[in-house]
Amino acid sequence: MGRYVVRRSLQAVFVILAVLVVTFILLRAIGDPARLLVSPEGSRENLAQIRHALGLDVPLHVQFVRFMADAVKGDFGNSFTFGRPALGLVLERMPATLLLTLVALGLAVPVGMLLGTISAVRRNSVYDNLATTLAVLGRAVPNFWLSIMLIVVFGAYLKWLPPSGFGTWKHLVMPAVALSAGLAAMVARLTRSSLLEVMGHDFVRTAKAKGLTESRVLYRHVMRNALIPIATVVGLQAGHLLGGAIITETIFAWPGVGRLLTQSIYNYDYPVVQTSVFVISVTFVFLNLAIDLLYALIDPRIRYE
Amino acid sequence: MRRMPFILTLLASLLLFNSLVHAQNTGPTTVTIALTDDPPSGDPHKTRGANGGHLLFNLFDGLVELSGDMMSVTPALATSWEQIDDLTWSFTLREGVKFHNGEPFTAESVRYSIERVLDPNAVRFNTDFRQIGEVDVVDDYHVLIHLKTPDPVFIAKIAGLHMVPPVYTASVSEEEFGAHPVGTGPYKLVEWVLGQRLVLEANDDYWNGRPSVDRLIFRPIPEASTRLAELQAGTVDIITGLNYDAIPLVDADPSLRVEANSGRRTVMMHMDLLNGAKPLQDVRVRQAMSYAVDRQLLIDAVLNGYGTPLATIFRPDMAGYSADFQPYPYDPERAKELLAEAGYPNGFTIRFMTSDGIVNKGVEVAEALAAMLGDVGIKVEVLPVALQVMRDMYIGNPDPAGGNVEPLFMFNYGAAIPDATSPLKALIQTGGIEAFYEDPVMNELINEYGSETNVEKRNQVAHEIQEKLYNDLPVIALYLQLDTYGVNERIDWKARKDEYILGKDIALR
Repeated sequence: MGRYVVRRSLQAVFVILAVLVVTFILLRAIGDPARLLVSPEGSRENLAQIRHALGLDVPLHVQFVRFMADAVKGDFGNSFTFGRPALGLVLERMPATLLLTLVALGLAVPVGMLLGTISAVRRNSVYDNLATTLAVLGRAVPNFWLSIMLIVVFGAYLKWLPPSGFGTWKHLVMPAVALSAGLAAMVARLTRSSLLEVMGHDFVRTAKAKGLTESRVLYRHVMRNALIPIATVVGLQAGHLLGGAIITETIFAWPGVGRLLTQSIYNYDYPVVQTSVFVISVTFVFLNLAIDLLYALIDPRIRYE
Repeated sequence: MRRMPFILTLLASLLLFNSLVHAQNTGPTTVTIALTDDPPSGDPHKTRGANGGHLLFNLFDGLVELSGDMMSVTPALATSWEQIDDLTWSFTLREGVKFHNGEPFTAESVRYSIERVLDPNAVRFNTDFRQIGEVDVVDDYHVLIHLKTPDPVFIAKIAGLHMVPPVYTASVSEEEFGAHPVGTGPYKLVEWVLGQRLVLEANDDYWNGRPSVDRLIFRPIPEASTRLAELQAGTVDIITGLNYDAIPLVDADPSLRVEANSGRRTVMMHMDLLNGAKPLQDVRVRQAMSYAVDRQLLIDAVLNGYGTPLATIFRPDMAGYSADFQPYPYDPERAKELLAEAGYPNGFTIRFMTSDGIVNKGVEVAEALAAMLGDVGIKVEVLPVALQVMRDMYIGNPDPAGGNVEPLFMFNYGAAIPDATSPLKALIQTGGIEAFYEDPVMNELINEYGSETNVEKRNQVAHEIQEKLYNDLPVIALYLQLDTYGVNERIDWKARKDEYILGKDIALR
């Protein structure tokens, strides 16, 4: 187990380094931030002055060496747009993103599993059809559309919830629902098929034959075995939630890293994009590591040696 | 059971008390405004763009100020001024004004602020002040400003040159000043959480009287439909960037209204005439394109009527504007004739780059234009991209000879003062930061317009420039874009031409 963790952590560091390099190169390929910053009423001298101040007038490899040398020391440079340290800007936004994704995850998994279990247990009943329809809808409806519909109905029309912003639990409801819908639907469908598959196994028949109650069979024997594929998918999708948060945060004016990242990409704000991508990839990589280690807890057959 | 009535009475009295408290609530008046994004910085010398302006023009003052319609210059931190000669201006300063931190405003503040703007070693986004040479402090309340070159619109320009407190500014880093700006303006900054809110509070000691709204809250909300929902929910009082498509929704709600300003931005079809597509190099083709466009139809059909047709990039409020030049009439027959004369009887094919960010509904406007040009035989392929792609392609083009850009593109220019010098220098004069045109006579005329202080002579030059712009069409001016806002009826407020939302313009009904 220990050796496995060390090996995976080293891999993680390598992945993160690779992400930094790729982000650096891709960003420089998209365009010149100085041209976005200069006033349209400005002059060419003004443009050169800005380019110099941002350190963009030196060759790319020099910029890269400077960037890596500073990054190792924890200095990710100052935001081109806000003039403040990029790392501070990103870390300041991190709690809001974590709150949103964790709540969305905490919403999606139980709701999805409940729907999936109802479907599997009452297979081909009205409940099954209803749950399956919901799951298909949840998967098919685009995140931004659902978000806007929620805002229009519950924010503007019914006025039950604040349309956007951050601060109270009320602000959290709609973005969390919007972000969790897709994952909940996926978990529901997976739970259903996974449960049905396990239910067909011999040991389930044996358990029933022993005289165990329906619910005991379901929770002790079926659920436990059906959990493994669900955990895998949830683990993979948790990272994607961070990606979905980019859209959700922008629509709900949620002050998270995703929105900062979108804004910074639009502004060609290299330092902030680099730092956001760095922080998000660190989170992603370690989340995956944690999920892998969780397997061992769910399934005693899995051992890391 | 016998205690129930007592509890009920208690509850009822609590509720009653609560509602009484609410009825008597005379707490601070707050107006909440939704912006499209965070202002980048609170430093008036390092910020540009509309979102920055909302903050700066509430926190800071200049020596003078420009009225909401940009038509008059009124005293602000200077009570009077006088032009001594072409290159020297004398200002008498307002006495007893204090910055938000208590620092007194004096001639020294003026000198410090101007020198800070002109600092060659710092990044400054405002380039309107390059003509300023030295500032002489005569005494505490008198300064002389010396110009390097004559500037006929100097006094209007310095409305945007904000005064900062020398002691505080020098004692903190520029980064720190940007986060905690201190000015003399009608509002002071109390809280700024990036991505969430910006809270301003009325300045009790404002020299022009305390503004009537106690608190302004600016909320950055990037998504237009979310801003609209906030307005409809009553949680926000004014929204910027109201989509034209959403106007009927706002109109239908009795508690809301639409406000529009008189338009700061001129919208045009811009072209690379240095090295772009060959057909565009022929003036007859450009004239044909101008005749082929039905400007009024475009405004009515795509912009819900929120626009004014333009003949050239001169806005009607700009110095030297001449009504002799009226927008090209819609005349597709004339357009076809001109195309045939130019050797394109069957038209030609061209790409047209546009963006929803560069002008309101930029893609739909371009598609409508493409259809109109298509009617006279010019096959236009609309190329929609992000605003950043366009800015990156067209602003400060590294190749002054042109040719490495899409030859036909949508553009807008929002001059901050009612004067054409800045758009002419940027868009038309060879070497301008977004110019793709070469005409030595025009270049010379622009220099004259930019420095001639005799009004009559200047108007003559302006007339000549407009004549050339109208006939040679270095850009094809389309219309003046009006900015639209959604406003709650409890708010008394009129939109300013400069696009900024200022607390001192707002009152509660």
